[in-house]
Amino acid sequence: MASRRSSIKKPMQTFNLQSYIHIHLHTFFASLGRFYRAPFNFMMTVSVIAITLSLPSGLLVSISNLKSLSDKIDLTNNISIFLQQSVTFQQAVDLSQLLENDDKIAKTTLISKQEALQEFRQYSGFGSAISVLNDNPLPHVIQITPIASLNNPAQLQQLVDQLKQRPSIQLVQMDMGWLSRLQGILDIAQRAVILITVLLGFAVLLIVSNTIRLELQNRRDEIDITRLVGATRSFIMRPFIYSGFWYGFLGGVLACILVNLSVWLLDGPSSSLAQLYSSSFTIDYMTISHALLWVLFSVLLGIVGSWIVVSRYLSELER
Amino acid sequence: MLQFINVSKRYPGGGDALKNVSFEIKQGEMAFLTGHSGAGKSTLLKLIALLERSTQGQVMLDNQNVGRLSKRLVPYTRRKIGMIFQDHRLLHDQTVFDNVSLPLIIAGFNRHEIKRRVRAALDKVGLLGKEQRYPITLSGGEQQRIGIARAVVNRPPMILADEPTGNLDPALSEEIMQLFVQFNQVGVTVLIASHDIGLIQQMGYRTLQLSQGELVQAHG
Repeated sequence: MASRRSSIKKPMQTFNLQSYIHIHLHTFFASLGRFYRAPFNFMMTVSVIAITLSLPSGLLVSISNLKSLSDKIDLTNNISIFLQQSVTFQQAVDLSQLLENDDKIAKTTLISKQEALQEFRQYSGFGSAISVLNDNPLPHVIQITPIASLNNPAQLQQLVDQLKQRPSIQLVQMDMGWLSRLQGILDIAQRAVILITVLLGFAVLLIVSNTIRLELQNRRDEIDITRLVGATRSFIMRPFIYSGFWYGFLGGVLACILVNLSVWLLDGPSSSLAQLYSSSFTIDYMTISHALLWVLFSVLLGIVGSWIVVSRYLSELER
Repeated sequence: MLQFINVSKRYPGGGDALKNVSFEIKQGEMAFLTGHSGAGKSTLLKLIALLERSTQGQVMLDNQNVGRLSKRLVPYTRRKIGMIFQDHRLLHDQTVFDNVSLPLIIAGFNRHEIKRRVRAALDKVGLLGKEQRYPITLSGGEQQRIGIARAVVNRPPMILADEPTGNLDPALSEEIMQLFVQFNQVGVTVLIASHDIGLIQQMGYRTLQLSQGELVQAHG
């Protein structure tokens, strides 16, 4: 039986690298040619993929921008001490000196009530309202930077409690509180984006699958005929896999363009806003490595999506 | 070359399309398959081309039981058979050249060889010079010739034709039949399913007659 079987075999002797490459190039460009003949349908699918993918990738860019913004704000672990109204400037200076000698504290900065008022008048926009006031309602403020080794919340809280003991101090505020909360929120958001990416990635898979399924139905006769004249499974699958590749590739590229276009549109307003806060913050575009990863992800979804549909379809035909 | 040994085919939910059919066609032979519509002609051809598998019995092609062939090898077996259909089964969005070259592209021939063989096949069926036309712009007889060119371009040892003259007038039918005779003369095994009894008798080749799935007569 074995010798009989050998009469029908994969004809390896006719395999030839040049013609193999030729077949690949042929189907590669033929699949592009089909898009050229039906550009509207093609662009619709590519756009849907691009918009779907631009949501998670855009969110990731926003989050990384917020992260770099919060990193740039150098308020790490700073503590502001608001003194009682009754405390005089000289007393405030003395206290500031005293605190600087504390071995838990690296640096103190005294902001007198006059300076505070000046700053408030300049930046708050209530300048004229303030000049109506007879008294300066603001207290003296001492800003403390703890030593670098003092960085866990419990230790900082201990220092805050210790400072609160002093009768001349009205309020102690840890500036890093909101910052660490923001960073916590951003960490959650980043995880949420991963979930969204998984869900929308699945959506892209379905979009590609459905488009390829329609293409399969349109080309049913062609598939039947190529099967009849001896096409192998991989020969029939190849053009559809390439279609999936193109959907994924162009969808991914368009998604990156959309995200960076949005960043560009936000760049102007955000940098003028940053100027108002006298910050040098500039909004970041998607990095090249991230863009490449997104395109790769999209290409993978395109190929897998079409592969699933075509191999299922062919298995049904072969029974 | 081709041998049916007690072959039966039953479609699920339907009756027996073929009942206990046995016959042999030798290498280089030419034969006709006749019978009324629904007698099982198409089913018989489908079993050879592996579009269907028999429920019982063996279909031997080149001493190979094709019913036992793994799915992976089916395409390579089909390349040994040139199939021709009544409805031509051409790709209407592709040129004559592309249609005829399809089996060669699938088999992985290089571009030079493809050009040479396509021209040779088109020359044989009298369509040389119409490579760049689309099938729809050609007559029914010419479209059938494209189908024949596609079936022989790969130089298969066997040709199967399912009602190749079904839609053609008598003069064109005879021309097409003469083409098959020419292929047979260079050694190709030919099996033609047709109900054009007059034409078949006039040609005087062996005839297998099917009736309700049974081989009733084998003469010639």
